[in-house]
Amino acid sequence: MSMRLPTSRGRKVQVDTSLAIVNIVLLLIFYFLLAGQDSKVRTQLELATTTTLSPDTLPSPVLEVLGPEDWRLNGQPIRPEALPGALAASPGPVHLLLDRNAPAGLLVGLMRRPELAGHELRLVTIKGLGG
Amino acid sequence: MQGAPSLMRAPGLDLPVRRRKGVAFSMTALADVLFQLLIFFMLSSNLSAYSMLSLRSGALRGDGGGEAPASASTAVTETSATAIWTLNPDGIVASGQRFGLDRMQALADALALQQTRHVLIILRPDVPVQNVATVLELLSAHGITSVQIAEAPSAPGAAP
Repeated sequence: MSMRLPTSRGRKVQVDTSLAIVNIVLLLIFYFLLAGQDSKVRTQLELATTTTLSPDTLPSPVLEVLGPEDWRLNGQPIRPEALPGALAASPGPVHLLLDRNAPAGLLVGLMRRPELAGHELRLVTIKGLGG
Repeated sequence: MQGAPSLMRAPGLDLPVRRRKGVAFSMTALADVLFQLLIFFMLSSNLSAYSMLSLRSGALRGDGGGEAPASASTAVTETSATAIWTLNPDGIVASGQRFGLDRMQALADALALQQTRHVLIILRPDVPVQNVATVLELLSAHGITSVQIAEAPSAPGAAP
């Protein structure tokens, strides 16, 4: 007496890849959402480029130096004499935005300014293909 | 007579009978929307990576120069333990020799070989900031993190 087992018919198995695609696209959206949070300060300065330094986010406070007396703190114009008061709440380093073609005398002058005394100064550069 | 009502239809009405099927949810529209969101966020996000270079001011003490410290926080450097580079718009003067900017790599290699850990960079006022950043980056890549910056003497005839 032979048993009659159900035979498997040659059905084509359809794998639904749309769910995986949607998941990957969602992850990409989250990534670009978080990456887009970085640009809080927009500047028209062309920053100096570096290639080998480790990338970093741009923390606050950011001091944009357009001239010897033309300063912007976190995007807002500020007079040099008002800077110590504005920086009183943030005793950490001050991040300098200078144009790449600006003279070094401007940079050295900043380092000598009494308004910035007591703060570590960091020059902000941007990742470039070549120096 | 249990099954009789399902077979009966009202006379004259031939309405389509809705048959219950398994509801298949199509993800095509959702994927389209997500792709449009993805393109939007890709274009609007700023992926430019910033880097930071610490700046320390310094001054010379010893037989090499008579510069006075700029402020109380300015570090005073012994000339015997420190390499002194004078950065000009067209090159670098190190140990009395003038080098082009393209020789900075070799100069930094030499400093690393001599295990020099301190460098004082004397800046001419007209040197672009890009050159300063390049020098600081190069020294940082060679493990020389103690770099101080000083301003060149303003005397017009002062030799570097």
